[in-house]
Amino acid sequence: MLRVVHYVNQFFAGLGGEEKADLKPEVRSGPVGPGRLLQSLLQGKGEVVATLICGDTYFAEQPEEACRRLADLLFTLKADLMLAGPAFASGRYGLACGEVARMALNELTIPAVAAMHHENPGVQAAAAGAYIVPCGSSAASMKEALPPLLALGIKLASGSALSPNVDGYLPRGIRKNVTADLPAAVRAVNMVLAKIAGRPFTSEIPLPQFDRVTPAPPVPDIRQATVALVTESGLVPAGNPDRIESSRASHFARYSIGGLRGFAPGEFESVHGGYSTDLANADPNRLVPLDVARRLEEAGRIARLYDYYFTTVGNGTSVQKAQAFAREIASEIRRSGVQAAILTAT
Amino acid sequence: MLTVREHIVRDIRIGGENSLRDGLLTVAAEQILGLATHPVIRSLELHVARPGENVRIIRILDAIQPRAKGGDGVVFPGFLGPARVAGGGETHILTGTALLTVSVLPRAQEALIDMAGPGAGICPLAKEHLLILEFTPVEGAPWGEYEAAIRLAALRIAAHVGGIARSAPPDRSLCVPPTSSAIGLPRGGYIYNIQAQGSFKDTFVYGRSARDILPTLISAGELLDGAVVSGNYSHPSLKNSTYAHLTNPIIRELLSRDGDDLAFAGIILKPEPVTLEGKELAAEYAANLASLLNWQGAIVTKEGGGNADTDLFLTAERCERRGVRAVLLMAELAGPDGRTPPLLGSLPEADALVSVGNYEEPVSVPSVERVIGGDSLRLADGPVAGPLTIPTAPIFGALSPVGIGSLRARAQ
Amino acid sequence: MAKELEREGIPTALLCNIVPIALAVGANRVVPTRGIQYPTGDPSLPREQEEAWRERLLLTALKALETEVSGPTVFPSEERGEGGR
Repeated sequence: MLRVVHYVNQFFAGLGGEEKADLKPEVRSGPVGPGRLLQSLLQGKGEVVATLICGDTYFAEQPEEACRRLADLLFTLKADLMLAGPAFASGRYGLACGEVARMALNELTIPAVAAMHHENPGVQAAAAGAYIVPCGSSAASMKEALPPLLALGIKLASGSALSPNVDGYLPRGIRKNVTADLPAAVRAVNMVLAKIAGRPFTSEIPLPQFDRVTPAPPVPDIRQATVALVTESGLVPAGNPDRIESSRASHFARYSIGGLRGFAPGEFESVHGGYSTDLANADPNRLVPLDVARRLEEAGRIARLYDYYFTTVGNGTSVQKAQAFAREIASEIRRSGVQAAILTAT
Repeated sequence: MLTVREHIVRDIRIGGENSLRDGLLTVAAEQILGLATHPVIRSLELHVARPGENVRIIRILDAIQPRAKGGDGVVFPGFLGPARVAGGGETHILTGTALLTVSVLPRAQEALIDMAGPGAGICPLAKEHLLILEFTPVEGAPWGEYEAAIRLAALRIAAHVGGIARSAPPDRSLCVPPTSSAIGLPRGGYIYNIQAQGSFKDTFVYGRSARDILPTLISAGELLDGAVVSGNYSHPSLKNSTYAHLTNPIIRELLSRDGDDLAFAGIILKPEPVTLEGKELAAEYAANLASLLNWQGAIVTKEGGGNADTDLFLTAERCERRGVRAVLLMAELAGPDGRTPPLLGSLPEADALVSVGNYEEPVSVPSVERVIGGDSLRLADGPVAGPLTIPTAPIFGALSPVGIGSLRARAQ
Repeated sequence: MAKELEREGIPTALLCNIVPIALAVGANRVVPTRGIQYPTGDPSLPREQEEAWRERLLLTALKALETEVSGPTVFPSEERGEGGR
């Protein structure tokens, strides 16, 4: 018998509308509001032992505190499964449901599923690992929304393997190795025959969606600009004093180039593990063009080279880490009056 | 036309006289050791590892499926005999078994096979009876010479062991025609990317490095006779071992369906140059060949890590532009937790992808009783025989780009 | 990293070899190099000529930094095929 806990907001708990949206997390025994329908759908497989209620505004303004209180309550209730929503198109409610479902699953290891419309901003919790089942946009579709929410919850709680295609939840951006049902060669031949015939086929690896960044405005006159040199080639002072890893780098470093007219072989080296570094180590200016950059600075083609260059290793580095490095570098160089950057990649 | 005689091996024993009877392969040790005599090879030690045994093998360089010609000719032309075009006559192959070459070698990425446990389940070679050739070098021998010597010795031994099957009745026979005679069926071919960058990251075609070749045609029979041999010791699970070249499942599948629902339009062997310009030329040239030969579709495989993805995507782009529909096989770099976007970059034409698994997913393997190949492993925090948690990457052949493995990744 | 720097308002010239990936990923100012292992080099040239190539690359990078772009844009430093040797 599954101990199910249901999460709803103040409105679906019947406690009021916007005026009660600042309600702090509280618990009621048994099902409340739509939870009663969940209870009847459970048909003896389980019981909605309690309902957690939280005001949408309180959650939006104090998410950590709200989650902390809800986690304590969930833990005390010894829930086997937590179901949140359905939030339909309600944005704050959806964000709360998604976050509570994520928190229960990832931090308390309690199977948890939320339901909301697929355009609800709360679906971002799926990318963080929450199971979210899509549903209609208005509460008029409550009767249709609950069964899939419950069904996925029960399957998740049973420990069965799940996949978005089969079980109808939003992709969580997680890839997992499994034993293929058919050999890759067979799948490949089937796929090419389908493609030739113009029949539909399903590609097995999602193509990455890379966001476009609005280009930064150009430098009006580069001769007046301070330029910073940045690299992911792994160029570091000999001996790698800050121990930058040769793959999956955990940090970047900055090193002074003030007064340096170029990188001397032997004094600088590359620690990048993804390519053969002999050619670069023979002349490190092949990685970061300090010698020529300095000459251009002297010739007035740029006003100044920034006194430090920034380096990390771009070998198996996660996108998030690379973004974090760049943000830190950007904030430092902006404060120092740098207007542009040259980034060398291997 | 090549006639292949397949002999299934169900057990191996070292000792006594060479024979293959009812699936039991017996190999005389002295003859094998005699084939490894070379000034730079100090010793060769033979081991056997069977599926399910509590043993871990490390320092694996290559795997080879034994085979020998039935009459005239040699297998592994260019190595064991003059470089003459192969793929005719009769070839005996032993299935259910493979030779492994094991040795220390600089720049070889660490590779591992567990014959039992979770590591075995995802390793295609853990299901084979393995005859392990553990070589050691003479001290001070130049590594390039040593590497060439052990490759030659291993190929000789593979042919010698294959020869034991000549007098045994085959379990199965297979005819492999040089080209397809199917008409009125969709014409599908195979663009076969091989990594050839020079020392220790090389592939040999008729005994010669494929580093600077242009894409070229090759037939299934030639591959079955060992025209393509691996000298690549990078990425244990993303490279093509000689075993993979010999048993290539893409080719097997295309052969088996030739005349049924497709016409096997041919194989284009294609290198993976290291410059963008080189990659573009190779992709363009291969796509052009495919188009000249009226291929309607192409299956494309790669060899190696992320850099080779560009070769794959460019090939897809150039094929699609010419109306040749492309399907690509590749492993994913989805991070240890499966959350990193699985591809580094792509082109819109790369819309038909077959997954062979996430490279970085961790695998926990238990401790083992016996280790073959050495007593230290940089991958291991503790003793080499101890329990390990490693990414899928070092498990030999687990993410095979030509599909000898059994993994794929799915959304979870 | 180039994208992120641009996002923070710092125009960034990315010098790299595998241009299709840089474009697909969305880097905005891309300057093609001659080799992966030597972004601002060309070891096949004698020293003086290699430095001249490095200067050409850098000048292209500076030009890219002064150029308004609306999306991923390639700034070549040479005609294709010029690198034949």
